[in-house]
Parts: sequence; structure tokens; C-alpha cells
Amino acid sequence: MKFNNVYIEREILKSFYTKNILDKINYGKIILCDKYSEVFNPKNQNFRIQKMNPNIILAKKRKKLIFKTPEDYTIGFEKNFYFSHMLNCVYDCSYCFLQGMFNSANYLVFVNYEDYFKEIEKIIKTNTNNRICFFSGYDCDSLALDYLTNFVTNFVDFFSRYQNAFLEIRTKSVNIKPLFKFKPSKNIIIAYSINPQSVIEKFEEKTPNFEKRLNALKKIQEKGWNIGLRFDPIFISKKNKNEYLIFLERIFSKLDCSLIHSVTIGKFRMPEVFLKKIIKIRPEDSYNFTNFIKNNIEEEMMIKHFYSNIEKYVNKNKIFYN
Amino acid sequence: MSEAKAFIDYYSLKKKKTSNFSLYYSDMISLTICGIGKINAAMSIVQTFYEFKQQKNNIWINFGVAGNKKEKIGSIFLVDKVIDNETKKKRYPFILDNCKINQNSCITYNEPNFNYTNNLSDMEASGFFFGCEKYSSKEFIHSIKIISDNEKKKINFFNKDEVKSMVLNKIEDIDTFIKKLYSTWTNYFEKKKKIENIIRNILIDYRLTFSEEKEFRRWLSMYFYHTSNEKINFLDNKKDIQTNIQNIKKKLGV
Repeated sequence: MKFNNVYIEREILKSFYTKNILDKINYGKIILCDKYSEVFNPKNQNFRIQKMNPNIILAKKRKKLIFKTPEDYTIGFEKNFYFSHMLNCVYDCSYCFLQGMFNSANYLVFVNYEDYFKEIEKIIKTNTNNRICFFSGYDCDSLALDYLTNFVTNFVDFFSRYQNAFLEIRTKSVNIKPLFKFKPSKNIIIAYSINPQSVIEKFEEKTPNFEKRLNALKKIQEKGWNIGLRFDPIFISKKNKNEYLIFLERIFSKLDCSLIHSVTIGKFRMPEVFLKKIIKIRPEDSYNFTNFIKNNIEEEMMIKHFYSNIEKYVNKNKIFYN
Repeated sequence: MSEAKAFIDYYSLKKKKTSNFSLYYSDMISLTICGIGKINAAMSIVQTFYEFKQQKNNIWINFGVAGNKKEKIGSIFLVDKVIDNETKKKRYPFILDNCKINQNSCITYNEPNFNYTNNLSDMEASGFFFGCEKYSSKEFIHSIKIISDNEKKKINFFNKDEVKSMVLNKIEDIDTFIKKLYSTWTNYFEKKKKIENIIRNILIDYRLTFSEEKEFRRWLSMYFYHTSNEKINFLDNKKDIQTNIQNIKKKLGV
């Protein structure tokens, strides 16, 4: 991967992880900064223009390493948390909330994994009676840049030490090799965001196509890993209902349904401030966004129908409508 | 002024009469001679912004001389980090892909600095960046510096021809950079600006409250982006605004 510039926080310039990443990329110049926020946070930045040619920022996450998920978000665990070892994504999904949340499209990688481990460990130790889940891949794609971040190697190894703590690795990437260095771990769930091919072509630019994602899921499952299906966001309507049903058939005929860890369904949702910002930087998509946020009965009915079709293949206890 | 002369000739710029700063312009480019110091640099941004239609998100480039410990006199650099020596505030320009000009960081001093380092040293860049960020996006704000002095040598600043010829030697490289930046700007903003103009012209014929205008503008924008159609014969300024919005919705099938 090639970057014009690599921005590095002075404090982590000599870190092992920083060196490791620098060895794997082509870059023009290293520019030192004191805090990543100096580069990443300024307001007068255009996410869309930076997205054409993002740079990479290597930094240390100092505060708020782990967050609680919203109360009602679950895939069956009593307590749920999420964390981000990276901000921003190599893909360019038009519905992605990151472009409304962040001012910059630069990839921001936090290299102080040990600090994450300490925080996660604290939570695990105070919740020994609960089965808890940690979600990754909400502010980035967990697998897509793994060759740089070594996320899988570090975090799969870490979580394999704990019985009651689970890690969901959320992805659209078919870069699954790093997983296969490990024996399948019961407390890791590899969860794929998937949509029918026409939706991928329309809204999920630069992502692997549906068949590739399905093949990756099959391989992962065959190796003995837990897999999750994430129909989130789902863009089902009267027009494409049949396509979604054929899509389900294709998925469940290929995978072993009894071994699927969980299935989630979620409508497109986004805080209004993010939405306003996104419409400002990609006005050409304002029409699509107006359609996405229509909260109508028809869509609810379609989703119910979709849900009941999943029930034909997967136990109801494993399906979550978030 | 001597640095500016090369650009005035190269881009055939005409002089604009103003009270404070010397301004030159053509249809596409304007050039402001800000003089020495970061306050002058920042003030010249404000003056330029108001002199030329207060257009937001334009391309802004600071060009000027700088010192450096070892770099050769006449070599040019694109600034990738600006540090204000007084406040220690920093700015990091977003450098576009395949830029052929070498990069360097620049420290802006309040007074001439002859303690040369590997950074560029100047007296304007920080004022320029802090001023421009009010009016444009980071990707379009840049500073190009030409080395005028180093540890061993310095140009004769009073010899106008020497300064001008030093700039002329690099003007093609600078022009290439500007054209590339302009092409990125055009790709992103051209359609946006065109649609904004169409909407502005439509709104002239309507008497609307603030919130009505905001909503009407939103639907018009969506219509023009989605349909790429400039025909608006379904709109009627004699009808109330909700009827017009309903007509747009019908056209969009919303």
C-alpha cells in the first residue's frame, strides 16, 4: 500500500508496532506530530477529497479505549462493549456513518494494543459471572488492513485466554488468511456485513462482491470458526424483496446453518448531524439518503418477511433485530 | 514584490486598485502582495476574500522566500507542516497524490531568523494558514517556498532581477502543481457550483421565509443532482411553496 505521507505521534515513533507498519508500506515522508488530533480533527477538511488519496496516521489512543454499546444492541450476550483499533476504512460505502462522524478520511491506526488489552482485561475481571462481548470493526473494517495492523494476530491470541469474553470481528473483507494461523477459537465470531450484489454495486464501492464474501464465510466456517451474518444496513423494499429472498437461499444453501453463531438485521440509521454533514459533502447522494431514512410501514413489513425467512434456516434465538 | 513579478508576467495579471494591499488578477487567478510578516499575511487573506466575491472553498497558495540550513538557493518546497514559532500552533496541509515538488516543514518567525535548521524558516506561512482556514478546505490551502538563503549564502534581496529569475526557473513546476490542484477542485466543486448558481437564480423569483427557502433549496438540490436535468417548467412561483415542493417530489418519485 502506498501513502504520500505517514503522520506519526512523536511518542510512538519507536514503538514495535509503528516500525512493523512502516516496514510494510510505501510512503513519501514521515511527518511527526504531537497528537493525532492535530492532523485528524481540524474542521476545515473535506472527507470526500481526502478519500481519493488518504494518508495514514499512527497514534496512541490515550482515553476512552473501550465503550459500552447502546443498551439494546446485542447478539445474545449479557454485556456488550466495543473498541476501535483504527478509524476509517478502505471501502467507500455511500451509507457509511464514518464520513459524517470524522472530518478526515486519513486512516488512523492506534498502535498501543497493550493498553487495549489492559482495559479489556479490567472489564473481563469485573464481569466474571457474565458472558460479555467486545465488538470490533465499527469505526473501520477489522480485517481489510490486517496485513498492516496485525489486529487478528494480537487480539485473537489475547481473547483465546478468556472463557467468558467474546470478540466479534466485523468485516466485509475476504482477507481471511491471518485467521488460519490460529486454531479456531470458540470465543471469536467472524461477522460479515452482507447485502445482495445489486445493493453492493449501488452502495458499497470498493468492497468484495457477494460471492467472494460468501466463499470467505464458508471457508471460515469449514475451518471451525464461529461465523455471524450481519444484514445491517438492509435496503429491502417491495422492488427488491425477491432478490433478498434468493440471496438468503443462496447463503443458507452454502453454509451450515446449525453452526451459525448469530444473525443480525438492522435498518439504515444515522444521527441527524452525521446525515446533514454527509449530504453536504456528497450532495449527489441526497436522494438515496432521503429514501434510506423513510421510516415506513412497507419497509417494516418487508423486514418482518425477511426475518421470518431467516427463521426457516436459523434458530430464532440466534436472530437479532437491532 | 520581486517574487510576485514573475507570476504577474507569467499569468498576465492586471492590477486591481485597492487601498491596502496590491492585488493583481485575471479571470482565473488573483495574486495579493501581502508584504512581510504573519499579520500582513492573514490580513491579506481577508482582503482578498472580500475583494473577489467572497467565494468559499477556493484554492489558496502562499508563495514566498524561506531560509534553510543546507538547501540550495532557488530550490522550491511544498510545506507539509507549519509551526508558528510564537504560539507553537501547527497546521498540516493535505498533500495531493503525485506531487512533484519536494516537501518540507516550515517554522514561521516573528523576526528574521538566521539560526538555520533543517526546517524552512519564513515570516508569513502560519498567518497565511490560520487566515485561509476560515475560507477554504485544508486540501486547497498550500504554501510553496523558494530558498533565498542558507548557512553559506543568500541572494541579494534588493536585486529584483535576481529574485525574479530565481522564481522564473521554477515557475513551470509551480504551474503544474496549481493545475493539478485545480483539476481536483474542478472534479469536486464544478457541478456543485453550477447547481448552486441554478438554485440561486430560481430563488430570485420567490419570496420565502428562511425555513421555506431552506426546505425548497434542499429539494431543488436533490432534484438537480439526481436527475441532471435543468428543466424546471414544473415549478411556478405564483403557487405556494409546498405545492412546488410536492411537484419536485413527484418528479423524483419520492
